[in-house]
Amino acid sequence: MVTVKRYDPDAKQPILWRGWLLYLLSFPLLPAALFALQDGFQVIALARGVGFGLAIAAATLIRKGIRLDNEAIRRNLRRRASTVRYRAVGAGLLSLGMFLVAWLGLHTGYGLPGSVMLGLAVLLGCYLYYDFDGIGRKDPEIAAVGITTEELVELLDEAEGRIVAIENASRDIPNVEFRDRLRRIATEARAILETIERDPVDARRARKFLKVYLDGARQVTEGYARTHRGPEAPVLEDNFRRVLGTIETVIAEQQEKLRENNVLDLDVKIEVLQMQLENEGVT
Amino acid sequence: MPKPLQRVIGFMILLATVGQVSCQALLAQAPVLIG
Repeated sequence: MVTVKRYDPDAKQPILWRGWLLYLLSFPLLPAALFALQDGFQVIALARGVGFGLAIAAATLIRKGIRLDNEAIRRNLRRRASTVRYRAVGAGLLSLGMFLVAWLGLHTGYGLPGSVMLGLAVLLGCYLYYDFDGIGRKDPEIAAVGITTEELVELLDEAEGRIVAIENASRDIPNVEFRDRLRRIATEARAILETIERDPVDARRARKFLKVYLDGARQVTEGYARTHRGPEAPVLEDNFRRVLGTIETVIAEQQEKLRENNVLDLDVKIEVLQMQLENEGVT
Repeated sequence: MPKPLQRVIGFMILLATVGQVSCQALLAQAPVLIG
């Protein structure tokens, strides 16, 4: 079983220095392209401009790959980082960019064979310096889990954001009973996130709950908080109480279903709840 | 190959390829500019 550390929005993200080298190394291409353009060497200027663009895109992709890997390490996550091999794609773009500059972007060019060699050398340099995502790494759990770090981190971060939004909205609700119940709902929803963090296989089963249902709960809470800053409206209060009851039931059932590994029934119930939220008119 | 050594070699290769090509492009324009 793999585990993952929960997203902490207040945690300070370390500055990522790796990958800056490529921005630095390729930067001279920009003035070089402008100078060539100024002097009337359009092809050379174009080759340098395209080479610079590809190098910047490559640096950005490579940094994204590194960031995802760091995130996986930070959360003790052991799986393929992404469906896109950002670093390998980045290295390919950089190699292509440097090939173009060497072939067409210099007054005394490297020639086609020399430029191809240079492009391949760039590819090798990237592989050695940045590593390519997952290549050569053997991880039997990747196929079984069926969710990448990128997807999982996004799913958990979004869900945490929705829970925080529910908590923030609940602070504006004057009714003490509702505030308490919303606080419990947030705690229970976090417990579901923790279950997923302990075993990311559950992420697949809870995807609908985390994406659709939590967002519905957020909307209804924010809507209620917005309309109840002033004098309270008793009819809506009854509706909101009923909705809160349903939210609590669904959360409890989600936890139960995660234990039982049964997702189908709950999906139907979430859809029913969505309809209820709309019918109650508190959103 | 040990990881640190691999990194150093990779760094040198990138410096010698990307760094050299981009600096060469900039410097090659210099005589034209001066001229």
